[in-house]
Amino acid sequence: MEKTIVRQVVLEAISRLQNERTDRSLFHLLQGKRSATSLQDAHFYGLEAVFGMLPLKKDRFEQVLHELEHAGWIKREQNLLMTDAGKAQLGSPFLLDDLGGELRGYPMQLWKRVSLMIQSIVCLDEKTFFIPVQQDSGVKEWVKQQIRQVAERSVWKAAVYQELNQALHQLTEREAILITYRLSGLKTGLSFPQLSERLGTDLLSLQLEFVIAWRRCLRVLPEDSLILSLGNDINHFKMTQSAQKTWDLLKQGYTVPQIAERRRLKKSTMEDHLVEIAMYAPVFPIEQFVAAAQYEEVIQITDRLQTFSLKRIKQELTQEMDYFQIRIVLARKVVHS
Amino acid sequence: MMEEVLKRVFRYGAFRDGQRQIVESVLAGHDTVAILPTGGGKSICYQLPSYLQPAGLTVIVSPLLSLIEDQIMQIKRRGERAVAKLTSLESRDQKEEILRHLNQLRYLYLSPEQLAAPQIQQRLAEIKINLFVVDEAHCISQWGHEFRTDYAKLGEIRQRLSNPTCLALTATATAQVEQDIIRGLALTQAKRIRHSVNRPEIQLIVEQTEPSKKDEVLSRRLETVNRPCVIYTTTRKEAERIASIVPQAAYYHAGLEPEDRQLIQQQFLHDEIDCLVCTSAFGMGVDKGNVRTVIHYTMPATIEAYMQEIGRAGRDGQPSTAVLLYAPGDQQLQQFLVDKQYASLLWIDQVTQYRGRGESFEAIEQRLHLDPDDPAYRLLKGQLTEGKTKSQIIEWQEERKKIRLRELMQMINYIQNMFCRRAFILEHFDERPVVQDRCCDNCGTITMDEPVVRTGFAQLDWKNRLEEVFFSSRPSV
Repeated sequence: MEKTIVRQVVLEAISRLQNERTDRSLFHLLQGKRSATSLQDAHFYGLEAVFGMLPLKKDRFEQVLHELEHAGWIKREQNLLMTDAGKAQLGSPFLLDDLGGELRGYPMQLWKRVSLMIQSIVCLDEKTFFIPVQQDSGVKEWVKQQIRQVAERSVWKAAVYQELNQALHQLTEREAILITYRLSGLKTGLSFPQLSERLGTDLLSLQLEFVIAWRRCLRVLPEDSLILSLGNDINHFKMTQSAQKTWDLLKQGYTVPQIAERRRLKKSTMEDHLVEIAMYAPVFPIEQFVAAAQYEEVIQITDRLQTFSLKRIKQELTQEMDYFQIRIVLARKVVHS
Repeated sequence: MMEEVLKRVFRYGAFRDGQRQIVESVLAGHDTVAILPTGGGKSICYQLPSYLQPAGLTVIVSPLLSLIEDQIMQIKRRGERAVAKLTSLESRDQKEEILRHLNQLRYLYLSPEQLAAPQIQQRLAEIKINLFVVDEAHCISQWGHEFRTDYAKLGEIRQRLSNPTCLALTATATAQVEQDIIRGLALTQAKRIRHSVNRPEIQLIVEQTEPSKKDEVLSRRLETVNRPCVIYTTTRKEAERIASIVPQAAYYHAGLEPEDRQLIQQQFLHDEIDCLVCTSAFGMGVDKGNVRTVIHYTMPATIEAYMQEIGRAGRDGQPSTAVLLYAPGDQQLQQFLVDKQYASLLWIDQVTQYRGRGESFEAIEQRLHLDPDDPAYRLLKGQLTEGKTKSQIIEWQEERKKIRLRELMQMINYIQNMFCRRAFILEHFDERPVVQDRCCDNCGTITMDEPVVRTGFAQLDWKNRLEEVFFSSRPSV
């Protein structure tokens, strides 16, 4: 079977799940479902980078799994299982680590702004008519405001051209092609189907390749570049907004019961928030929730069994702990490792 | 006076057929039904009067978001800022903002759904409306090919806005539809201005073949017609397939990502691609003058739709061609699509039953696994909300289906008819036949082109491309 990028990325994700998660869990992860369980899966299993980056339709997702199974690379039982043949297909480094899902949509949001800024400024400067390449009204509004602050269009244009030109020289030919042929200005960009035909790749793989290329491009741009400055205000918090609010209150010194009362949160929701905070916050008062001995034991068990399966950990525990406490420990463990 | 505005504001040297008459009629305060062919310059007819009247708002009801956006873009391009829209896309705050400043606007575009909202009507009732424009007015008629339930309420709403002068516009309307427009909008002593639906610059060709030979026939036909060329298909899949077999073609349909849709449209408008394979999602509001050929790989459901789609050819008045491919059995897909637009008897039965027991629509949707966005279900829900009974709904649906099938039959008659095709169409719209050159394949007066089709693509070269995007637009793909 041909190794497309989509198959490769899905296979990599399955291998990271260590035979401990179902197809449903993987589906939600790829979709970027902002539920406590999915966020936690992404965090524990090193899949932040692919979180929300492969929003396949259900039937297409099923099809990919079916193909992988048919090739003998995975097995589908209650959980998704890697076979030896599947493991042999894995390369290194993993492609999925370049997808940028940990930035929660920041790269594509920035792409929308950059591509519309370039198109608008180039076309306004040449006084040619154009159809805005982005239709998202938030992006259009933002760009409209931004253009007013550009003093000298031709200067802006030349500077951004220089930045791109230098950055693209540090990428592969193919990556540079993907980016330049998506841009519009005096020439119009190609659609993904057109590019996929020209480059001979399936549509979805090509879209992923584009994301990877753009992400690499952002990485080689100088920090003070004009292009990166267009994204300064894009929110890329990993926490859900609701957990973020809880975190703010916690930092102001409110206790957990006070916050739950004030925000009218159920116990389970509150716990989800705390796990999220434990995963993403730089500091966390873990002693409020778990005793040192409990913490140590969970760490020992996970290291010994090499697992994030809550059920298996709980079975091995000699002390009484609930799932919430185990989740909190695991969340902090990953932060520290 | 009128010419002066036409020149100063719209930068046109002269009126086109029918435009002046319509503007004069509206300025004199007559309710007006205007039937102008696609590409006949409809927008001037309602945008111009505003500059010759004392302050007041021009309200335009339009059924399609893309049409509204396109119009607004064109208005802003000529430097007019006093224009706004109320559609499903605006946030509550944005709408509030627009409604607060209604008296500063020259044009307000609305979807019929928005106009149906009481609070919007209330605000509109408080200000002076110079002109109430109904675009695509054929949507009001059950006999029209695009009946829209929300259009049925427009007459009532107009009365609530103290009956401003009304201009109803459409590209195609039979006498029956024209009657429905007048009645539906409650027009008084309406002036009817009718411009022929005939598009003399377009020659009409029908090519009949076997289903298995269609691709071959298409390929051969493409060797005798000029580009830019639009090829219409019925389904998205078919559009993708045809695009892959026609050299230098790209496809466009509503399933593309929004960014991809914009890219393809812009490429086509800028002549960067010269063959577009698309579903009916393409075209509304796309203003490209030099389309030389429109080919239908499969037929549309009605003659009205056909005229609208081939009307995208030859807007610059230069010789153009419309080709319709037909293979026996093509109508079955259209029949299937007609059926799919209405709820099945089983649904009607089940939904009315559960409604009878007092269940909410949400509960019923869950129980029966109904997709709330399915147009057939939405139609049914709408009718039940209006208080129609089961038998009324079934009867109405049967009637509608009959009309649709009759329309489809007319389309087939057009294909199978042995005499002048132009005469057939004109007769359909109650017009007299004409005699002209480059008429149709049945008259035998068609001309062939010798198109130059580029083959193969230039090498992909990112450095060159980057420069072209930013600095030069040398013609290369």
